[in-house]
Amino acid sequence: METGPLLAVVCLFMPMLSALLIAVLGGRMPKICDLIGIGTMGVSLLCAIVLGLGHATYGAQTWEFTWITMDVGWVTSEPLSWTLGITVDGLTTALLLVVTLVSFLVHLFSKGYMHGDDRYVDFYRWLGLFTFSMLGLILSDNLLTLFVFWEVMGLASYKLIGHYFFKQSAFMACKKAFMTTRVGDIGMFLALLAIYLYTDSLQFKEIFANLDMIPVGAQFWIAMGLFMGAAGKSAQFPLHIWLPDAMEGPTPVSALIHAATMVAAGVYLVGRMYTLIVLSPGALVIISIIGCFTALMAASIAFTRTDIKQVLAYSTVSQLGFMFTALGVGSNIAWKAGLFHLATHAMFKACLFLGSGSVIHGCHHLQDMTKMGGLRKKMPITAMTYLVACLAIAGFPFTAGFWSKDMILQALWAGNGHFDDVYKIIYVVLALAAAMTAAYMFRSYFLTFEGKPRDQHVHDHAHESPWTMTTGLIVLATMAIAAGYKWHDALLPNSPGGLEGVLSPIATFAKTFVIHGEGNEVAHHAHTIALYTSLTVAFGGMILAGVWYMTAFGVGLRQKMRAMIGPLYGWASGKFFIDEFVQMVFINTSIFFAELTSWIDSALLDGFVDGTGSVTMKTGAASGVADDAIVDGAVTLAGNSAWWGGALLGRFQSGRIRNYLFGAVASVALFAVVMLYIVAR
Amino acid sequence: MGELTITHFLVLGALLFSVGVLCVTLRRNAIGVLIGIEIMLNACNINLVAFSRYTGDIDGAVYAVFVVMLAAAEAAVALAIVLHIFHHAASISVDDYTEMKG
Repeated sequence: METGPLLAVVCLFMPMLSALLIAVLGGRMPKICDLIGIGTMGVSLLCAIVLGLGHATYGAQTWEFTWITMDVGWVTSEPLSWTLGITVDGLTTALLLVVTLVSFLVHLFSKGYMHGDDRYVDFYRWLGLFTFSMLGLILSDNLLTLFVFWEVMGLASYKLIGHYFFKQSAFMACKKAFMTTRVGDIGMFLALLAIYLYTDSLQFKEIFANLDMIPVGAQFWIAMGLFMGAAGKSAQFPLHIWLPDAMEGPTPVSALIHAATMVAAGVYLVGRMYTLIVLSPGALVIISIIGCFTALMAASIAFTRTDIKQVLAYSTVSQLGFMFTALGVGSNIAWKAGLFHLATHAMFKACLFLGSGSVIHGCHHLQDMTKMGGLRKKMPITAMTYLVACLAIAGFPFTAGFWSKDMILQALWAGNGHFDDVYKIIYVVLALAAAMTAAYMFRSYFLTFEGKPRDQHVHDHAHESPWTMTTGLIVLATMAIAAGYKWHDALLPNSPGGLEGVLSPIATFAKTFVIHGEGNEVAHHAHTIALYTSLTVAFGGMILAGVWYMTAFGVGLRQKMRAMIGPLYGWASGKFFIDEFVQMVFINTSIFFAELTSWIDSALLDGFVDGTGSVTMKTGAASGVADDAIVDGAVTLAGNSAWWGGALLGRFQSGRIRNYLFGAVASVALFAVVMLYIVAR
Repeated sequence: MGELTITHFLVLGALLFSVGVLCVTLRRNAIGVLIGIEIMLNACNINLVAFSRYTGDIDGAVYAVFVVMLAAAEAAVALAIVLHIFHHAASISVDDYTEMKG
């Protein structure tokens, strides 16, 4: 085996080892399970870093093994074999780094945050399994194992969201997350079947080599099926409803699963299957529209949330919308922009979530921002890192989020030659969503850390978190800036060749996805416009939030603006009633059908079965009566008649010898008379 | 009056037998029953002797002698039984002795 795949395999199986070791040892030695988790994740992270540094050497290696060989002699003379394997390329390396880094820091963070939890051991075990499945998903070189890991991840996510399962809301949330993603998985599974049907393989390289075997009509539906699965996992409208509820899980879980890794799986799937998806411009534009709509909708809901984690949850939904909007363009730069934003978003959103976890921990499990305020002095490290991550997500210049968001806007403006007008509209809407992002993120920062304490009690008891928690914050805050430079040649933002630099593992993987030729001039033009737009929206949003929450007339201004937009605020506050709609239309309908079938079952089928039973019972009773009356009667009668006969005949046994003798003589006399009569005749 | 023929003897025998049977069946006294038996045996003897005379063969008379001897033995045994019954039941009425009642 080559060095690259070997490192990848070690990286993949370390979290599995962690889960197994904790499962075996956890019961006896609950104290060391966190060390097992952190240690194994550290090894994984090291492997990923070595892979990343040596990317030029290890790039694009695959390691395959034959999983199963079937003799199908009646079809072809060659035995059919299934080859599974892992692949190490630029995209894999980049995501391995992201996942192992966030997972390692979350393991470390949890040591402080989950301290004293009753189900501490279980928590680490599922964390290990989750990381294993996420890494497996990234490393899979075929859709089959990808789908398996995809589902295992759903299970791990279910267990982690439901960590506090004794709470009704957490229990409902994990069920909702599982069921909602399952809806998307149906589409993905159908797409997998269709791909296998047409190309006879689920391996990426085989699929991409046989793309011309997929008919044009099927390309659209396969792309939509894959996107449906991705939308379920990555919380896109209308399957986004599970993610805000999933905040019921512990905060480190929110950081790992619902910010950095699992929700990224959908984006990764679309990115991985991009060669197939770009074949259908119709599917692309639908992906873009849905992503853009999700981004705007979730951003507007985020304004109305007062729970700090809820703001971050809707922000995640919104940012994932950004990624899909970018991927929906279908050009080379759009592909890079989407996945680049995935990587940078993972860094600053994990930082924000862990920051919120630190705040919640410091405020003794308080999540309501309206009771916070002025916490910066109490928790300086948390406040600083949160501010850096806020700047990154808002798109402040020279942070990671600035580069990736700028690239997305640039890709949108350039378009792909089809539906360019639509992409221009999307560009405007997405710019608005970006401005809103900056505003609501700074709203959360100002409400939490700045201003005067709104609840003196909470403020007095707030404290900075231990080093296990702040380490992760500092590393991630650094990455929230540095991530932009790792994948992006920041020194030459306007240079057409800058993005193709060898610094980017993604760039080396890049293929030509362009549907329509994209000249350098267009790209350059797009870049200039996108740069101005992203700067405008970032500063606009931040200034707006500052005016709203940090100035004297901010309160009045907020009320005036609320009145101006009319019922919109109420709608956003009610999350646009999508949950209610789903409840009413889908869930109630399902419940109605469930009750209907239950009624059919109990009334008709049970009635039939019960009827059969009661007929049998009645028949039995009747035959019992017949048995008693007729058969028993006959037997008794036989006995009785013998008895009666004996009694009757016993009368003749008088015991008087005279009588017997008389009988004998009388019989002889009678006999004689009869004989005489016969003889005389 | 005609000549005395075998018919007369047979009729006498039959009448005697009938008297014996009636005596056995109707008498309650055990001694009476035994007397009835003796009468029946003697009725048989008359027949035996009559037929012996009629056929000119001595065999019948010999049988009659045997019967007389048998009757004596039988009377001895029977009287002993009657005595025993009397000791047992303080009565010699055959109707009092119904051990064979079913």
